[in-house]
Amino acid sequence: MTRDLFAFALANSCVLVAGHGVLRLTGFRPALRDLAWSIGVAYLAGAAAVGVLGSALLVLGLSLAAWQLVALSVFLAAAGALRHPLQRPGRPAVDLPVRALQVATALVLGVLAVDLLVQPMWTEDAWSIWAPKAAAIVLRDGLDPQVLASASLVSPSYPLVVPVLELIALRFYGLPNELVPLQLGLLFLAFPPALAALLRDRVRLFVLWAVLFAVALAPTLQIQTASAVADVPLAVFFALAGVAGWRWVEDGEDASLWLAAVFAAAAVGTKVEGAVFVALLACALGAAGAARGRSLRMAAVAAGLVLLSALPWELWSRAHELGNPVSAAGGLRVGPAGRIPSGSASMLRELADPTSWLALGLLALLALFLAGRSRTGRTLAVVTAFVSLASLASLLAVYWATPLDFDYHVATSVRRVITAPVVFGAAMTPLLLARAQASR
Amino acid sequence: MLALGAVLAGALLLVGGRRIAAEAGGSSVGVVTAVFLALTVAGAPYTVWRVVEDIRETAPISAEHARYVGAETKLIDGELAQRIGSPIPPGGSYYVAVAPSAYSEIRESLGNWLGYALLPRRRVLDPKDAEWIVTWGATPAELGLRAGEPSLVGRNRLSEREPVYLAPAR
Repeated sequence: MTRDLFAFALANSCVLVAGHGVLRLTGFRPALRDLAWSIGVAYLAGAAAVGVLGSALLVLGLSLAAWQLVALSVFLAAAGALRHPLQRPGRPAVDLPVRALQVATALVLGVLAVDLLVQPMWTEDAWSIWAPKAAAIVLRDGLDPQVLASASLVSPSYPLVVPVLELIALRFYGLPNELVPLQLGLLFLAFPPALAALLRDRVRLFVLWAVLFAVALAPTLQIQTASAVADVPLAVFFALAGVAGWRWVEDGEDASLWLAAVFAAAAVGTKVEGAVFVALLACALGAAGAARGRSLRMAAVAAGLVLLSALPWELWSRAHELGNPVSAAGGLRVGPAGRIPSGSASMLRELADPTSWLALGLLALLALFLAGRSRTGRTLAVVTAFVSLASLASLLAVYWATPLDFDYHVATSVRRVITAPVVFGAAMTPLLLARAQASR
Repeated sequence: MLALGAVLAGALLLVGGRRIAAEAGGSSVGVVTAVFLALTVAGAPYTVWRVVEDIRETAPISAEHARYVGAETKLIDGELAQRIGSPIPPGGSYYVAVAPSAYSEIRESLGNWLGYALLPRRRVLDPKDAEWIVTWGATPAELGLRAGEPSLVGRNRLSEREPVYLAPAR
């Protein structure tokens, strides 16, 4: 175990170094003395970049051996070192009540980290969809279409970012390995500090950390994180793409736009529905940016790069006829109308369940209301409401058209799949409340 | 735990409600934040207790055992499943069949678990494409499958001690 933990630290240091490079490449300059700012957002930017580029490298025939992952991290760090000029992030002072919330959040995340350290991989989705793909890549030293197209894997056509991130664990400390849930869980552990880094110069720190404390405590996020499935990683990447994208809308910072693109590419590469969510987000941010006179040419380039990042795996998986349970059952088709109210009711029950989300959903609704009636917060409220509701509607459309048994499909997935839209809404909440206050 | 949370939340609102509202900027946003934080604190003891209980449950699991917990949630003996793979070479193909009398968890999930546990061997969905036949709870012949002489791999210790066979396909 000690050897594994040492390898774990080494592997994730590489991700962190890569992330610092990515931040510099996008135009941010994280300083060492501001480690608290950089560690969460740099780790997630590194995970996003390694996940997306690692997927493309696998398609190009590499095996993502440990030395190749190290080389990729060094390449990203070196590329970032060449980028000038850079923008230093704002760094507001922290008072005692905010510090208390930060400590409470860190304690909750610390307990969760211990849980992840001793967590076996027990959910069927973890060991039938995501872990087998990572294991198959290790055992065949790359993408082997014969193995991936066999019935050994459930949903082999699903994208590669999560298997690539699990691969970091397997390449650095062997197969089989019990640290995979912790490896994947790091994405959630890094999320509160990352979100704080992106919002701390835009919102009241107390409100921000109150929301982050609730995010860290939300039972469904803790349980899903311990389950080692892809819904929390998708939620993390999608929410950060939304927040960084909104920074670009507000200030027109190129750095925020590129950072949003990095996280959006990771969201697209994490789960199939990530592509739909990101498309909706891009439409909303593009419209809001155009209304504020932002450069849509730059936004189009960023969107094009996100699209391009998904192409290698999409082409490879189609060329080798990889499928998933929905395609195997004949694909989506118009279903009975009665599924819509039934699916909506299931979603609403989950959204309103305090044993899943505590009061996060309630706060997001109130924040939408307060920001929506204010002059300065109206656009943000419309963007947040549109992206969240349209994302949920897209999930409902899938339930409506599912070729699988409707009740089984809803019962086994609704709690997980709503995670990304809800976490996106929660991440935007401090901004909504700040804009509601600004118009007083 | 919920009662403790409620007491903590009430105390927080009574003692620090005004301060919290002021920290959050006052007005309606301040009130909303104070109530939200109180509700969060109310849920905190239960949430943290749930995670601590999970740690108490999972911490004693050995690394060796942890590899099979996924199988055990479906009443599948993970060590037995692992032994099935020994005679099948890497890249070899196999077909899985389960007796109708087996528990539904096993019938629904055995193929998926073996798909993971026996990698890089390939699971196929048509017995005609398989080099090996795996049967759980009955012999290949009892399940109507054409196969060579089956060998008993072992018995499932997690349910009815049903036999598990491996046979070369014919």
